[in-house]
Amino acid sequence: MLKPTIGIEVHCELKTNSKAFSPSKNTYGEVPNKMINEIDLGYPGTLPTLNKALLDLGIKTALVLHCDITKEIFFDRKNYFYPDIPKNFQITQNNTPIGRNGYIEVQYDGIKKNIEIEEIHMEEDTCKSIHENNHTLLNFNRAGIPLIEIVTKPVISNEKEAVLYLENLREILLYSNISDVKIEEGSMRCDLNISLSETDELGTKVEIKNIGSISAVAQSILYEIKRQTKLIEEGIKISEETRRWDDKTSTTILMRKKETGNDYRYFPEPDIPKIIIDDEWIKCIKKTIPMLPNELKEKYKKLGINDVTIKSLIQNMDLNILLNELIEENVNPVLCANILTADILSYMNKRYMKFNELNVTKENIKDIVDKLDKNEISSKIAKEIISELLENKGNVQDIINKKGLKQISDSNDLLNIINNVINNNIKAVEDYKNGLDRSIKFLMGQVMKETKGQANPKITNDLLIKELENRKNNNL
Amino acid sequence: MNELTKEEVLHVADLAKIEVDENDIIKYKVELKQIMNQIDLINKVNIDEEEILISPSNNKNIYREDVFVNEDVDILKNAPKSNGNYIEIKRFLNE
Amino acid sequence: MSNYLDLSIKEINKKLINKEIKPLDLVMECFNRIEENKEYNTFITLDKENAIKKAKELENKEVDNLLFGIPIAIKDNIITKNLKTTCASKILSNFIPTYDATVIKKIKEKNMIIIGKLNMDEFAMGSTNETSYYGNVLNSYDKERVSGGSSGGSAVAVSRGIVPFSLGSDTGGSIRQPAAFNGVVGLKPTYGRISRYGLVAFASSLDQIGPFSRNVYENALLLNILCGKDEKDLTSSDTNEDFTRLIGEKIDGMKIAVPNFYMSDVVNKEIKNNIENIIELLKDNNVKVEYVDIDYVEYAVPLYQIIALAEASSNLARFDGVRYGYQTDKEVSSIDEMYKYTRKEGFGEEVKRRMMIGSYVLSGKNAKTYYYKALKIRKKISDSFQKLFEEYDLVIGPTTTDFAGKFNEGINDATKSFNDDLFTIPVNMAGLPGMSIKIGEGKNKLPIGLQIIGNKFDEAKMYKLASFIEKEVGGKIC
Repeated sequence: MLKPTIGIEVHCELKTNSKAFSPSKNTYGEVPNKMINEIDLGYPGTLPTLNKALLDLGIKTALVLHCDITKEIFFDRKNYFYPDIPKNFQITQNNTPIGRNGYIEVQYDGIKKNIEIEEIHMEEDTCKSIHENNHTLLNFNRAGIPLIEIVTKPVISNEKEAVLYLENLREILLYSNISDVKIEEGSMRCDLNISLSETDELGTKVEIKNIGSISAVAQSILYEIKRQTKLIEEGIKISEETRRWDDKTSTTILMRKKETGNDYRYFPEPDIPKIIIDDEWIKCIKKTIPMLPNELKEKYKKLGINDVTIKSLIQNMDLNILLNELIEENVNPVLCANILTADILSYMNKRYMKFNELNVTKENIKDIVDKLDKNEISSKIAKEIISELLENKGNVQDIINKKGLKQISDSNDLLNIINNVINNNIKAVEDYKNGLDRSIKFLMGQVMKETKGQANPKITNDLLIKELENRKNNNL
Repeated sequence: MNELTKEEVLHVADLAKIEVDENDIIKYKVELKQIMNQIDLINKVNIDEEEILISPSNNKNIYREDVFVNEDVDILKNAPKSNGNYIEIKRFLNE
Repeated sequence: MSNYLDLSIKEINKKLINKEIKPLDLVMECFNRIEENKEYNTFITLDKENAIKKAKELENKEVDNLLFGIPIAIKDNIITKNLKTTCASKILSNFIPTYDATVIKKIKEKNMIIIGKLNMDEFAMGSTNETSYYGNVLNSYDKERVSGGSSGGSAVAVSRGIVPFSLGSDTGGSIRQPAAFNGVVGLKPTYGRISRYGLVAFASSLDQIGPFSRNVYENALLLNILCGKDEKDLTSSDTNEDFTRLIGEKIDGMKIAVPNFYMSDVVNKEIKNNIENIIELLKDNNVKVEYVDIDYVEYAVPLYQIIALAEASSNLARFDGVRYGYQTDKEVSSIDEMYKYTRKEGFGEEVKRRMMIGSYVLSGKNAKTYYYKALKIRKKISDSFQKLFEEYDLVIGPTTTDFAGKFNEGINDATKSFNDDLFTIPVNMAGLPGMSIKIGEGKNKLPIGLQIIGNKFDEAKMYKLASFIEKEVGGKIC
């Protein structure tokens, strides 16, 4: 059996204000060639400066990916001519990567596996090239934006592991505020290495460059396995080459055959003095790491939130921050999680909005959950209040008062309504007498309809059963 | 050290991105050898596992705070070819 | 025409304060002298219009420092905003910078007046100024001979009295050697003393900007305003001191080392005799002078060939015809061809050869056998000097093995330009300060330079010894 072995290299743009080695703005989508200075353009005489945030985020990445941190680091120059690197060398790390020997845990089909990370290193991004007809246009706004490169060992066995690894990595980097990981803006980019072999010895490696989405990673792995298997079965030798994923045809396309080894002539960057990372520094960075997805999942589980809700919660970091803040303020976590995922999240997703762009405030959520928790309102009313808030803003109590949504909890009032309902639904009462419990639900619904959902469900339910039993026993 | 082979000269010229013709190759073979002969003197030195000196500067941990400064450099002023706000070059990747 | 430029800086300053003269008088005198010395080919670009404008502006300003209104000329590898900066290369022959080097900002802050940009070896690669795209610079003492290099224009402009000050750069001797060949004072400061921001890099770990002057005291004056930490150069150091402060102090009790390596038979006999005379002079003045060995110093030239050229091959990769500078006119079929023809046509022979070597020693397995090995030996050389400075205040020896040569002497020897720097390169390897002062002339009427080498950041001590010797040998105005 041919067994695939996969390694993944991920490049992530770091969330900083300024570039890695120059004080230009780190930004996306501005007017071309306006977010630059002479350093970004590799003008003669310029020298790099070093952004502390690059180091901080490098250390942070090493920490969240469980890497050993290299205590004494320097940068290296990777020398090659290409129009998208202004100096014709890239400042990167070759000798002393900031982190080594990390891992990310993935779970699927009952399997738990650590995807081992070989190393992570810091470097600068290239400029953007736009190819048109017979010329190429260069936009240097991206040149020098700080990147972290995360390289796994060749330990990934299939597309499932690859996807889980990337999803987990993405969540971790997002939650720890290291990167926006916006694949569509190119702030996270993947390269794959994939080889097939029947034995433990690795087969010939094929590289797939610059894959733009996680689903395309899965597709290209499946495609490559099929392509390479076919070649091997036909007795054709796999050649070491670089390919790219083509969305239109859903295939990988040959970019170039591997030359006799790239001769990058790495050497230590003499313009950037070495950096010593002490325990104090690492401790400071540790303090800035919030709870990460895996820990959050554990926490939610313990609080009694169900798996489906947890899964949709984790997809939105803002809601998690909100939920955790509210939990701190002693709101009911299960009710709160349900409201956030069911009502708020679907609204946000439909409109591509962030929580802080909504009319609903954190105070609103707290009020609603508290009232639900105390049975002052039903979940139906809660929904109504939320949709009112989402449209028009406001205060929860005001909406309840204005719309007359206050719950009816007075037994006498409720009994009157219940008796009316029973008298108007003799058939349901008969069904109940004949042992059909279902009719309770029907009658409850009728009460709710009558009260526009304002009837306190618990009290109503108790009173309704009591009344029905009464009629049954007395054969009324 | 022996003269560099033609292939070596071509490889190095490719790394340095310098066009060379047959005459250049002959010339470089001789000149590079002269210099490499002198460089090879360091083979006489026997030190292993020793510290390297990257820069004579004793500085360490020199960095700046993460604050951006917008300068708006006129990059087109010195560019051989430009196109709107872009620098233009011959198309370099055929996709 | 007056000759105010022959006065000492202090005297000029007094006349400026008294309003006896105006900065414009000095500027006009400069341009007059440039005209008189045209054949020496010291300048690549003149900035007459702006110099005059600036001089007129200064008429309404208070003379607030010794260098106020004083003309200065700049080596053409130091970036000057809106003033063409060519590095004496065709590839930058049309380059108009958009910013000022940090040293240029400092010079402008002190209201010195920049006269123009000086000729040099292309990208500071050479020891004779023969590699310039703009032609040779002639030796100030003998027009048949080379000026030395790479800062040939900087040395000759001061030596001919065109300007009292100039800036040069020194990667392996490019300030000290032409200073010696033209009988002026040239200092390569400690690595990190002066910001390199705006110096077009040749070899980043070796390059330093430094001052040329007519005498030791004025050299220290200029260093005073050039030095200091710059947040744009991470290798620069924070030091704030008056470099003139030890000048005139007694030198007895000083301990000075003379490396045997610097007094071997490769040194011209007459030069050696002159150095020996200085040693005797010092001894007569209660200075302890001893001959010493410096381990690994004999490997400095091959180390330079590896380290300087490797760094250069990377630093000069940016000249590719894309963002600035010369681009080939040839119809090319690929971007690679564009690079190759641009660089073939844009660079001179010496520069191309050096980039080839630099690429070779970093290529593949060579990186380990050559480059990293060289960095290890470099550490050893640096340690040797450090050990020496635990015992001695300063090191002295000749700046050069010989007098300035005739033109075209190195035409068939690719190693000559390196071997010319035999005594100056070790200083750059260890990041030390080194200076050259004139101690006499040979029978050929050519000047002889004494090199003084100090411990890191010990320039003040070097100036002290240098000014003593200068006075004893009857040096120029102070």
